[in-house]
Amino acid sequence: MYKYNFEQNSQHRIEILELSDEKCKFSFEGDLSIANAIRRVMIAEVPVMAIHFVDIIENTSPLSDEFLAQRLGLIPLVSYAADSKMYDWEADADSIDDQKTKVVFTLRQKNLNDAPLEITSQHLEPEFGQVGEMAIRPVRMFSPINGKEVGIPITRLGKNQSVHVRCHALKGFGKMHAKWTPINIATFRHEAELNFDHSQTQSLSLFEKQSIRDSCPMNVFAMDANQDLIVNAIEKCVFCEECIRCAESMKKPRLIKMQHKKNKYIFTVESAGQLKAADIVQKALIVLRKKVDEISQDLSFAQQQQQI
Amino acid sequence: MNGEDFRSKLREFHLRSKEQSSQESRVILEDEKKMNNACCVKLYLEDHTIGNLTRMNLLKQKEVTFSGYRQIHPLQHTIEIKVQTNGSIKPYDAIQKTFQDLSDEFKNLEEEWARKVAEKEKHQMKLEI
Repeated sequence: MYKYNFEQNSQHRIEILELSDEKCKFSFEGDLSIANAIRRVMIAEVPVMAIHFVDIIENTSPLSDEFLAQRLGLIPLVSYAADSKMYDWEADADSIDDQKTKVVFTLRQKNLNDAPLEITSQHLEPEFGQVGEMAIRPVRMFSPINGKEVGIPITRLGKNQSVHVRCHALKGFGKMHAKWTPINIATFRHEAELNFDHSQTQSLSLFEKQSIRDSCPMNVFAMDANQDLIVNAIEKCVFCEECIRCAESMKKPRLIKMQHKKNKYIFTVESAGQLKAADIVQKALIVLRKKVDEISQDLSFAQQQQQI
Repeated sequence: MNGEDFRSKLREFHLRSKEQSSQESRVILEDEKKMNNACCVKLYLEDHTIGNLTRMNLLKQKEVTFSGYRQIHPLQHTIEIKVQTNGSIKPYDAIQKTFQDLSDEFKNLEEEWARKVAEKEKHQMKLEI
């Protein structure tokens, strides 16, 4: 019989290292199973909106209808309002055209000039009036060269070519199709644990200390006021072992001991634009709690039925 | 194809629970006949996310002597959790307790996350000024 060695009732701790709208880095102290559940839910089960049905009224663009629909589906839509929408299977069958389940965009463009016209996500127009920050709309993209707003390219039209489509954006989650995934990256890794052998550190010269400090590509080490080598930013360590190799070249192979820290993980979450990175984590936690509550309810319901 | 399959399963499930106008349970309980204090719980429309979470947190309880899970088939959206206890607690109660603990934990994490994000944003605002 195999039994894991747990700390009983271990407390979870979160520390945010980096935070912006697009990217979030945080350390999570706690169970591996919970860390992995959060990661998996962020990837596959946070609901967002994406274009799912496309009515093609006219398409004389160089792309075929299926290709066009596929490209439209992959456009990320800002989904702060996804919580107030219903999944299309939850709504009544007769109210399928309701605003409760979907957002409709129209795309109607014709090129009358000789120069080719690039159709982008900026040409998508929402059908029922939506305004403000909460509106469901394609994410805004800015050119890295001049900072101007550019859309996400859909197709290009030659002279007298035109495209007229109606797009129905539905609520969904990543398990159904990757276009509903709100994140680009959601990973976690162990935090490192670096220990110096203090019997050897005392014999190090200042030059040797400096060269160990400079050997680290992530700048984990620093010098303190007494010119001693200290670990300054442990969360940056990527286990490259350059410092150990540097110590080996000084004939001190056991100077630094590198280990995985138990029960501490560093998460990196990058948003695809539908939601803010911090909101994705928040929503993942809510989804997990709801899931667990629902199963616990179903379980007691099943238990009651079985007794009858 | 499989993605579409999963979606249609959700739709079917929702319609079925609506037809019966009662709470449709996603849980099937089976008593283990050959073993004492053991049970098997089948969860419909769940995967490794819940499976591993439940298994590891069941093992935290001292009364639980065995717990494991498996996805019965990659194309069937069902997992199976097997639990055995030492007899001082019923296996169903052990599972129920695990889910309640997890629910509390996620609630705490939610609150902590919201607090930490607010703190960090405040800190960043100060730095900008």
